[in-house]
Formats: sequence, structure tokens, C-alpha cells
Amino acid sequence: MSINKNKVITLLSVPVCLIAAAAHGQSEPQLNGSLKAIYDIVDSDGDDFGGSLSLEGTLRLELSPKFELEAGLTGTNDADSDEAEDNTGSYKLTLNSTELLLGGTVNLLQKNQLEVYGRGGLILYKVDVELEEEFFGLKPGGSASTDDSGTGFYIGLGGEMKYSPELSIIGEIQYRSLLDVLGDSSKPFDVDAISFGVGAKYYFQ
Amino acid sequence: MIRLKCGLLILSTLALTSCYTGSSPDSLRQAVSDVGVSAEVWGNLPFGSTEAQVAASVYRDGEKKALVGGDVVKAYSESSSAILRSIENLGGDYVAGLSVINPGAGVDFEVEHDPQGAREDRWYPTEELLVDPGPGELVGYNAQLDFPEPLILSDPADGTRYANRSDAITLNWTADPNAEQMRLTAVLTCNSESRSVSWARSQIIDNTGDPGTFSLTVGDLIPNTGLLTTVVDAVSQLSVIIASAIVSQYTYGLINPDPVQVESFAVTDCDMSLTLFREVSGTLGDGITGGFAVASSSATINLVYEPL
Repeated sequence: MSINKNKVITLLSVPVCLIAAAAHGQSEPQLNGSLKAIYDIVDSDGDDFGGSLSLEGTLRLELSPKFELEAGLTGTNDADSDEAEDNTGSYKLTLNSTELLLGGTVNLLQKNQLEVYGRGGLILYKVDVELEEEFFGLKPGGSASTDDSGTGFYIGLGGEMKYSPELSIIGEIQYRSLLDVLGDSSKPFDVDAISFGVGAKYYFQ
Repeated sequence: MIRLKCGLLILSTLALTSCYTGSSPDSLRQAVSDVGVSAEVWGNLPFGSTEAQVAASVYRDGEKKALVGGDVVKAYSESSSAILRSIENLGGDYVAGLSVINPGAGVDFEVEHDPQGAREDRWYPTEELLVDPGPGELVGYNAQLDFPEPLILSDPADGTRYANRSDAITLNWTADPNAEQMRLTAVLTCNSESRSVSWARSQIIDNTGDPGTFSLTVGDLIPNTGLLTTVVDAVSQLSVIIASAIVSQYTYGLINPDPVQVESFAVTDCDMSLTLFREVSGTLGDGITGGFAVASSSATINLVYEPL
């Protein structure tokens, strides 16, 4: 798989910068975790995929009131492409992915119980792609699948409403991009997702 | 799709009513056989071009067969190859442009099982994701064509204008003694003040050889009464597709137009694109019991009708 080195360096620089920025913060880091239900609108270079419902779980290390390091787990769950036809037959692709998010969260605005934050970082992904193909009933159809792993990035903007000192309600919009899927093939492609998520955030004391 | 079916119905009706003056029976194209495998194969090389238009259909027991699941018709020239495609899935009429650097080397056609080639227009990598149902029963059948001498039209000059339906259009070209048949196909677009209409016509002007000249009138192409007639048989329709050199829905529209009552259409001007085909027979491969293989060279001239 070929990955643009500059792109990787740029992506890796996000959490590194966040760590550096946090270095002058508070001395006792706080840990918190969140769980969100997310709805992905998935797209690739070649086709639109339908929506996908999944979860995102994230652990954050609060290094300063402004910065948190984070590691999260999410993915795309059975996102189907539109069914297409050509002379050969009809076909549809289904994407499933598991994505490890490594990055940081920046507190952009805090007012009373409301906080607005931005987040971003690197994605390490594993993607499964399944193909279903039919041949107009003239030959037997079937399915085939393949998988790949690689890197990508994510950015997001969200809001957090404090419910109690330990618990918050969060809502977020996020953009994730899995770069160079099936990068060793003749037609590698990127998979992009715009996600809408709501969930809860818990502060470990 | 509904429009297409309606158009086919109209075509069938026209087939019973239309008659194109002076057309001769086709001497090169045998009927598709009711039993076994038949093929209709046509390759045409326009004058001055290095790209031939190639077309093919394959039949089993008299029924046109769609090639699916990785089966394709491939055409090979000395320097290149092309997979023939159908505008309509399951249509069974396959066409392509094929680079021909050396026309003397001819063109070979073969039905092949090429799972990846058949899917090469898909956006995802088919070498990674492929369902291969295996070759169909038509794989292996083939045909071969050798193009006739290039056809060079000497008269009339491109862009010649005509003012009356009675005006004669006399086509002159250098005759080829080896030619077996000549066909003329016209693609016509007429404008009125409020709209335009396009249609096509095709006829065999000599089914025994190459006379080197042919005359018709503007009125033969653009009548002033009745319905605008159009091409009514599959070969003529294919000639329109080949003459247009564009495989598109527009081309299908030419051979499948809405009927126009000419009396209700006040013509302001018409573009007449005439394509002359010099045809010779090709060779159908072993096991093919019906149909035809025809090679042609062609020349196209664009004329204008602008009534006084």
C-alpha cells in the first residue's frame, strides 16, 4: 500500500502538537470517557453509500483545561452503495470498517455549563469490502470480499452540556476520511464519512 | 424505457408502410438461423480515419443473446483491441471504436470470457473484487473481416446547398471492382421556426458491385407529404449507428424518432449527412450457421437544403 508521506507526517503532527500544547498545563491529568451513537453518511471516490449507524467510544486524558489527548474506537457498519448495472450485470458494494482514532480535543469556548470543542487526529483503519453481483438471471450471481488496512484522519466539532460534575451530554459533527483503501490495487479509493453523533461523557474522579 | 418500447411499436408500424425508393435487397447479409449459433458482424473504416467502427450481435437458435457475467465480444486489429459494448444492458447489439493503423491487416472478432475486461469501466478494483460465473456457451465463436479499398467521394463538394426538393444530388467516387455492394445512409436534421427534428434513412444502392456514381433528389430524402419515414430494419439501424460514429442515446433517437407529419412542419433548413458504404463480405468462424460478416469503407458528406 502506498501512502503519501507528507500526508502521514501532517496527520501525525496533530496529536504531537496537542501534547506539546498540553505540556504546560495542569500537573494531574484527568481521565474521561464518552460513548456516542453516530450516523454516518458514507461516500467514496466512485459511488455514494447509504447511511450507517454505529457507536464511537473514546477515552480522553485531560492535560490542561484546554487540551485533551484522546483515543477512540468507531467504524462504519454495513454501508451499502447504490445498486448499479452495466452490460456484465448488476452490483452493489458494502463497506464495514473498524477505526482507531488517535488525536486530541481542544476546548474552543466555555460558557456556564456549555463547552464547544474541536477535535482531530489520525485514523488507523481496517476495512472490509463486500461485493454482491448478479447477472440478470442468465448466470448465477454471488458475492466476493476483500479487506485492507491503512491510515486516515478525522476532524470534528461538538458541544458538551454539563449535567453533573461527572456527567455531560455531548453532540458532535465529524468528518472522517480513510485514505487509499485497497491501495495496492489498480483502483485505490478514499472512503469519506460525515457523522452526526450524540452521547454521554463521564469524568472519572 | 416506455418511450423506447413505444418507438419500437412505431418502427414496426412504419416497417409495414414505408418504402424507400430504389432500394435493392441485401446480397451480403444472410438471415439468422433458427438453429445453432448465428452472428451479425460489421466493421467500417471511414475515409481518412484510423478508427474503425465495429459492431456485432450473437444469436442462439434465432434469438439474440446478451453477453453477461464476463463474456464479451472483442475486436482485434493488428495494433489494438477493443471490447464491444451495448448502450442498453441486455440489448445484445455491441459496438466499439477500434484503432486500425494498418487497414490491410483486417479485424478479428471473438466472443471471449474476460471477467476483468468486461468490468473495466467500474470504479472499484475488479482484480480484488470479482464474482466470476465462468464462460457462457457462446465463448469461442469468431469472425474475420478485411476492409475494402478506401472510398473517396469526389462530388458533390462538402457543404453544397440545395434550394428545391427536385434538385438532384449526384454522388461520384472512384469505383472499386472488388466491392460487392454499396449502401447509402442519410442522417437528416430539419429545422422549422419553432423546433427541429432528426431522423435517418438507409438503402442499398447497388447489390452487385460498385457503380462509382449514384443520383437521388433532395425530395427522396426529405419528402413533402406523409410521415417522415425512417430506417426499419436492424442492419439499416446499425448503419446509422456506424455512420454517426457516436454510440449514444442520440443515435438511437435517430433510428427511433417520434413520427412527424411533414405537412405540419414548415421547413426552414435541413442538414443532410450522407454516408456511402462500400461493402465486402467477411468470414464467419467455425460453427456459426447463420448471419453475416461484412466489412466496409465509407465516406461522409454534409449537405444543406434551404428552401426558397
